[in-house]
Parts: sequence; C-alpha cells; structure tokens
Amino acid sequence: MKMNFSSLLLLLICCSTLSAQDFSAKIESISEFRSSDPGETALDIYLHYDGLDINEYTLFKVIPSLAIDDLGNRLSAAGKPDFLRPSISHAKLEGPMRDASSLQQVVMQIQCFNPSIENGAIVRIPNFYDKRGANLLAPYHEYQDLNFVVIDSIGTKAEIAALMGKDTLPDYMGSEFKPRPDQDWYATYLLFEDPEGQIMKIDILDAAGNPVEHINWDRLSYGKVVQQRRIYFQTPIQKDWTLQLVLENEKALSEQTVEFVDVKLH
Amino acid sequence: MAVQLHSQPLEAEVKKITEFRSSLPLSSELRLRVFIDAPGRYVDGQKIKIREALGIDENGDSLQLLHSNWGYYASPTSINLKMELPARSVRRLKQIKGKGSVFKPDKEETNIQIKNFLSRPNQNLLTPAAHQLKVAVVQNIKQDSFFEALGMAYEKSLREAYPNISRKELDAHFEMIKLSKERSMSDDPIIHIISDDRDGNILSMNILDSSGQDVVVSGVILRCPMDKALSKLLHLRDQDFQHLTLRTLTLKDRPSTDWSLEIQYVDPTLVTEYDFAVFNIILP
Repeated sequence: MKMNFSSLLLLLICCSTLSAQDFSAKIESISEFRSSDPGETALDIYLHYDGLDINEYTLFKVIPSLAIDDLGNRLSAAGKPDFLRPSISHAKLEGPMRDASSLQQVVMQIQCFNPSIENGAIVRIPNFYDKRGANLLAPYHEYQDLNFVVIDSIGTKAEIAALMGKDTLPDYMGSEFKPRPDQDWYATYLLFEDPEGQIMKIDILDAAGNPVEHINWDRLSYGKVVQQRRIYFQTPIQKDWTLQLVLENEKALSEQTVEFVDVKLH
Repeated sequence: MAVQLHSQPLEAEVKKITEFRSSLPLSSELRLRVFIDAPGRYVDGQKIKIREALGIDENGDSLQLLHSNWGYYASPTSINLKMELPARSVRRLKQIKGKGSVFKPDKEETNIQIKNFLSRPNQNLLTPAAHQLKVAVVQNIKQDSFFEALGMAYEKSLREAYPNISRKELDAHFEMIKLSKERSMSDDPIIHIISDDRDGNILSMNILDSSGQDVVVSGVILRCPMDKALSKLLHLRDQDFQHLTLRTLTLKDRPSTDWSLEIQYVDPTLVTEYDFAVFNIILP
C-alpha cells in the first residue's frame, strides 16, 4: 500500500500564467471508487501545492486534459471541475480498468484563485454600518454593478425596493423585513445583485480584524436578480466593524499546466 | 449473551459492490449491499445484523469484516457490510461466510427510560446491567486532560491497526475529537454521555424534558477504546467500561434534574443467530 510519491516525475510543460504567481503541484493522495453499478467509477487525484503565499480564501480548480493508463487506455475527465479549497482540490477522472496498475501519463491544467487586497479580489469596507442604504461597492469601479446594500431589519417593502433601485421586490421578500421579537439576536440584511455569482464570500470583521461570530446566516436567492443574506449576531452591530467581501477578479487568477508520469494505482 | 442458535441459514444476496481504493490505508474498503431475509414471519421492528463475516478471494486470501449496521424496516432487509479490500489484481471473491443476528421484538419499541438520570453522574445507569449495556452521564471532566487522553488512546488504536498510517491521515480522523472538544469549550449547554456497547445494540439515545420533549439539538458521537487513563479522568465508579462511545450532546436549555434519558436498544435475549453465505462475487 505504501507509495513513494517523490518517485513521481513532475514536469512543468508550459506556464500559461495569467499573473506572476507561480506554483508547483505534487500528488497528495489517490482515491478510486469502483462500483458494480455502471457509470459510477471514478478516480480522484488530490494535489498539494507549493510556492504560493496562500490564504484562507485561496481556491484551486483542476482540469484534467490527458490521462493514459499503462494499458494504453485513455481516461476522460469526469464531472465539472470547480474551484475548491487546497485541502480538497483534486482532478476527477473516469475510473481505470481493474487490469490497469498505473497511469502512464496525466496532464492537467490548474487554475489558482488567490485573492488579496493588493489584487483587488478582497474588498474591505470599514464602518459599513454607517453607510447602510448606499451601494457599498460604488467606489470600486469593477464591482459597482453588484449594488451591495446593507440595511437594518426594519423597513417596508417599498423602502427596501427603493434602496435597491427597484420599482418593487418579489412578493416573497416582503414579509422578511421585520424586527425580530427575540431581543437576544441582532439581525442585519445584506442585499445585493450578483447575476454572475461573483461574490464568493462575505465576512464581518471586528475592530481587531477577527471574524465576528454570527448565530446564523440565511441565504436567499431570487433568480439571479436580487440576493439577500440575513445575519444574526449575538451582540448589537458595532460601528467599527468591517465588511469583507471576496470577489471574483481575473487579477487573482493564475494557471499552470502540470504533468505526472507513472502514477501507481492501488 | 443468551442468544438462540438456529441451523436454518439466512437467505443472502449481494445487490451492489463498491470499492474505495486509496493511497491512504484507512480510507480503503470494500462495501457490499446485501439483501438478507430472515426465516419465519416478519415482525414489526424486526432488525438484522451481520455479526461475523469472512471473505475468501480467488487466491485464497481472507478478508475480515470491518463494520456492519443493524438493518430494519423491510423484508428482505438491506444491510451494508464494510470489509477489508482485496488486492487490485483479484477479480472475484470465492465466498463470504458468517453469522447474522435477527432481532424480533415482542413489542413494537424496545426502550429504557431512566428518570432523573442527571442526579446519578459517573456511574452505570443501567444497574443491574440491563442486557450488558452500560451507560453513564459524566460530569466534572477536566476538558484538556480528557481530550488529550482521548486523542492518545485513539491514535494508539489507529497505529496498531494501520502501522503505516501518516500523520496527515491521523489528523483527518481526529476531526470528531476536535468537534467534541469545541462543543465542550463553548458556552452552549452540553452533556457528555458515555456508553460501553461493543455489540452495537444501542440504537439511539434521547434526552427528554419533563413534558417528554426531546431537548437535544445536535450531537457528536465518537467511538474509541477505553483505557485506564480515560477511565480515571472520567471518575467512573463502575470500572467495567471497556469500550467508549462518547456522545457530546448540545442542548436547547440548561440541564435540569427532572430530565429523562431514553435508550432505544436491541434486547439480546430476543436475538436469534443464523449462518449465512454468499458465493462467487464478481468484483467491479
């Protein structure tokens, strides 16, 4: 069962890097799922990355482009690759035949999303509570269409629609904007338009920059026009809290092509 | 255990086979979904479990049973068996033979309700031992020492079972311990309940308030071998706990002494044991 991955040869055959963030990849582990039900077999190759100064928001997408087993069979990519956290980032292939004992060659494109304040993919808006009702992303030219608005948990449907620059809101949003009878919880609404799913993460940071613990998040989507998130806090919202958004941004993306040979199957 | 032995075999058929083959040894296993039919009339609440199973592959190598659950609510009953993984070169198993237990309750629900259980901490609540089950609510745990000892006992058992296990894989299997510890350190009301149930006869535990409402919001269940250090830290008056199942239960309210503990279990005196066998299992 023991496998020495250091014996694997990692070749960087080209670097179609979108930014200056180079990194290398090695195989962390391999998991194969075989089933008596047809179409369920799959091979996942989990990767470990070096050379990048990553943070908790860094994501990788692995797109297999070529995989050939030691019998000469070509394995197709399986599923739709998605951006995943480094610890679970993997390439997904259709399962090899039982007779195969290794993969002769595997080539994959790895896209890295490594957001930072410097590359503009992390936006921090201090004292956001004082700016409620305004589009907080208006000053950020590339994101101003996202129309991100913070409101208290009070307001009529018409008032909320006006804040969003809408004539009206869908019926099912109307009843949500009421103060909670439970005084132990403090709710704030984040309303935004995000038709392309560009907002990847929303955090609230305290004055020291630590994430504020929330009791619950409700995430409600209304088509792709207006989305709503409602956050409950254990304490009243503080004016020195900061809203932090992680947003899709090409400047945070880099891409490399890697090749592995003689990958042993188990 | 007072079980009835029966010469008539269980009818078993393998319906689905899945293999998890991994470079991480702890993640590798063979799973079989087996349909099993018990002799005689189906009884409401009937349950079946595979107690023992040994597989033999085409090369004569044996595969041990890793885990099986109680299957219920249907006839035939679907049961998942987890077994050791055969070598990649093996194409079929010659056979899997073993013993299965069939539980036919004489009433629809089999449970024990222990009233005011919080007033008797750190001792077996089921005395005299009800069907060999042991359950204790534990209080006054020194959190850091307890979770450190729990981690050491857990790691020791994993290292014995998987000598080549990596640090990373060990860490991945400590998630439940970490979660249990985080719950314990939080301000949420929690209760630790431990049980010794090596045969897996406890099906569920509920904590009920004085009006009979369940007060448990969520729970973390962790199974670990009990050792002397753990036993000492738990201040157990009954030293006979050999295996530990720790339930760290998060509650809706602060604990109250008028609460009851309800344990649903399989009564071993109503269990009949049968042989079973399946042959020529083609691997995917």
